[in-house]
Amino acid sequence: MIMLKISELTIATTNETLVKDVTLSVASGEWVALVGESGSGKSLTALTIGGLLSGQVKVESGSITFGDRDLISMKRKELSRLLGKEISYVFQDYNSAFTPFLSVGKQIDEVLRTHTKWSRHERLGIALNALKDVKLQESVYRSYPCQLSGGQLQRVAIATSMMLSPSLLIADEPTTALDSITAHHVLELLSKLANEANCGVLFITHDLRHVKKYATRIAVMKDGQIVETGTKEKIFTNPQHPYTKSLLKAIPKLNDHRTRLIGLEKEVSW
Amino acid sequence: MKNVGSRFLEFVLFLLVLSFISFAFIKLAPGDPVMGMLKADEVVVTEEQVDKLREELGFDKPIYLQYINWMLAFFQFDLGYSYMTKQPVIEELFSRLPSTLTLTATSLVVMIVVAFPLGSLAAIYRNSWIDHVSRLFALLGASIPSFWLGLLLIHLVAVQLDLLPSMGMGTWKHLLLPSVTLGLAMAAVYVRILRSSLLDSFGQDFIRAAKARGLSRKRVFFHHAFRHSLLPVLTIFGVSLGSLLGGTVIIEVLFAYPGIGKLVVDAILKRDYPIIQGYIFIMGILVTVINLGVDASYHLVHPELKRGKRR
Amino acid sequence: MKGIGTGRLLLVLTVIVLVALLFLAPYITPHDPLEADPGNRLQPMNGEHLLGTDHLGRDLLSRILEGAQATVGISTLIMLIVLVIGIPIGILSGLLGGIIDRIFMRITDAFMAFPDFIVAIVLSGLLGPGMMNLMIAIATVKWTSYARLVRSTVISEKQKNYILVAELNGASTLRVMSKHIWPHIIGHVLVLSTLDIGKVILMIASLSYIGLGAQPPAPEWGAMLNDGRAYFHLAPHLMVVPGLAIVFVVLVSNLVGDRMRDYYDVRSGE
Repeated sequence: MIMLKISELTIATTNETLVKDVTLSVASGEWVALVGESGSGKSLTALTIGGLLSGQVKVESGSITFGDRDLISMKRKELSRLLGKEISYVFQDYNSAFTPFLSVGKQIDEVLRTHTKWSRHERLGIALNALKDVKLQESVYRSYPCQLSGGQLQRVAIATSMMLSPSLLIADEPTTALDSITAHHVLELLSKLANEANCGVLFITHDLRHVKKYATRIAVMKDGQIVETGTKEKIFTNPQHPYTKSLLKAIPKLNDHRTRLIGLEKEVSW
Repeated sequence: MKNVGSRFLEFVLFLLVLSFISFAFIKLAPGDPVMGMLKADEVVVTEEQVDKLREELGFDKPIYLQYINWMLAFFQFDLGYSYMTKQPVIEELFSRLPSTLTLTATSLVVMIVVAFPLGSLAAIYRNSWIDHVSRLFALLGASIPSFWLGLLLIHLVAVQLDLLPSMGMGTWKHLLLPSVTLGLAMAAVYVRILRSSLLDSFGQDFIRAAKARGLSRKRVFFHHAFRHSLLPVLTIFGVSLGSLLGGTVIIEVLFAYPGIGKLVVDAILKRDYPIIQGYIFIMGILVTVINLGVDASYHLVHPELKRGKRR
Repeated sequence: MKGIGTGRLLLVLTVIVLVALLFLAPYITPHDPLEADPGNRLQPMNGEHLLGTDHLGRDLLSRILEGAQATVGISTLIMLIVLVIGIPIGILSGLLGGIIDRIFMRITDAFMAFPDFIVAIVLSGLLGPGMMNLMIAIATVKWTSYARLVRSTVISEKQKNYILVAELNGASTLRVMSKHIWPHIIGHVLVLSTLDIGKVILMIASLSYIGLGAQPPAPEWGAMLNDGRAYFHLAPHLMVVPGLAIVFVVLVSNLVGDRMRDYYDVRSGE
């Protein structure tokens, strides 16, 4: 069943078109990877779904439907009821995932309080359970964000996103800022939880290694447009667009240490 | 952030310096303090009287002994007697201090009531009419002398409309005009600071993350953005609480409000040096206490600073 | 923003007119500002006395013009004194460093711990009421921020490579100073002092109002407001005119200061 459908979405500022005619869909249980270099408009597309664009950037045309509801014309208040419950986000920068002066637990509880009518006790149970699901200790609940490591924070972010079993998870480069071992653990957890909830995932990345492992379908984006879409098998075995081909070529081979190091360097210098 | 121990040490050192400044002050002041004390009575002073009082006060001893004696008295809060009223300086000051602190507090309330909503609205509705109003408000606030604003208010509200008393103290009505005058003058500064600080908050990624979790606009604003923007406001607040205390001097004179500021201005005009000395002492302590308070309030707004980093 | 061109032109013209009035004041006053005329007390605005007369029958326009020299003239003088003290100390402190720097900075620390206004009041208490003493008091309070500003400018410029290169090429310290560091100092100091002069004017007027500055019958704006206070209900112009004069001059200096800050692109203070 199609959860999310983006049709001919165009996003622009007053003097520049940033995303043009993007069409994309995510079905429940499906893992769709949106691939492309930074600045290609992937993140903008992702932010638009939750109405999170800021400042001068606006949707010019197109539609985004979630289930049978149009998200673009939806009132902010109504959209807020979906965000964090039906549609969840995990962002790249783990340092900015949580407000620095509130404890992690308080911020998890805030989400539960916003979206449910559960008692304090019930909420605490759910929160601790969610932390356990991502293999974190209960003490994390009382910590402030600055006391946790990047990997821990990103796991808290995943726990927060998944605890209400959303039907769509938007993961905007969730591992780019992490080292590769931590990134691996985080993605394993993410895919496990998404599978359990039968949740559709829109996974935004520029790293095709992760795509190869988890994605079911791939959309390749360049300069604000989707240049190629297809199943993982099709894209990896028979790429059509020259840009896709060059991306595939850039995947570092495991035994090639030099390119691997260069790749890591790129990751670090975000 | 420093710990309590070094803070305390700093405070004691500060008191020592303050005592020295106060002592030097009275020694440097033109005129003989003994004459000053006796002359206040407006009678002919005899040589004998002068010598007697001089001995009584220990002014015939060498200067370092005077300082030590004086300092011992100083640390017992004994600051001598006012030339004018012959009352102990410390009593005079402490009897006036509550009025000044009350005025400071009510002015702060006015400041917050005006600046916080106006600054917030200016940031939320950036470049709208309310933003322009806040800009104009800030510009005028920086250009209008508070005493003139007070004069206008007195003339309009107290004299023309006869709604409120223009001077003295006693009821809340007496506090209203002075607090509004002082509060408005302060608010002008904070409206713009709060606005730019809030705009900075709105651009933070964690605010976007909070929105992405579906929190209500109200909750995102008050619990996340507003609190984040308070830190720079607090920093400047510490500095300007001091200038607020300075501002009370003018306002107290203007409204004939019997606070510590009015006391010191009267003392200056009548060359009542012990009172001025006591004023230095009290202000020194007040400013220090304010700075300590501001430091403590950082921790209230940002508890994570205290916990330290594990990473 | 619209009308930046005309706005700037208007501002420049206003400043020129104000400065001209300041210097020409003694020659263009229609009446003797100190000459009392008991028969003409509290006259409203009329042909003979354009701004009316005060409670002693003195011509208000003449007193305002003459008072500009006290209020604005003295403020400018104070700024000059402050610069003459603050800049050399800042330069010495920044160039020499070491123990001299430490001593100067401790002194400025001590001054800055206390609010301007309170120190000025206490100092004028020590010196006694009067315009001369008020000048000394305000100058004593104000020089520290200039010394600090200049010092930090010198230090930050000193560390830049081009200064090192100039020195390596054999340029003397004096030459480096005058050619390279001086322009930076001038810019910063100019901005700070135009922003400050409004504050000094307000300070002089306020302290004169409470009787610590200009003594009657000298026509200082703040003192004039104090003088006429008992007659405001009979002759509101005694309140309105000197007040507006202060507001106008301070407003202009604030506007000029803002423009200067934008022009030199400096953030406030250090």
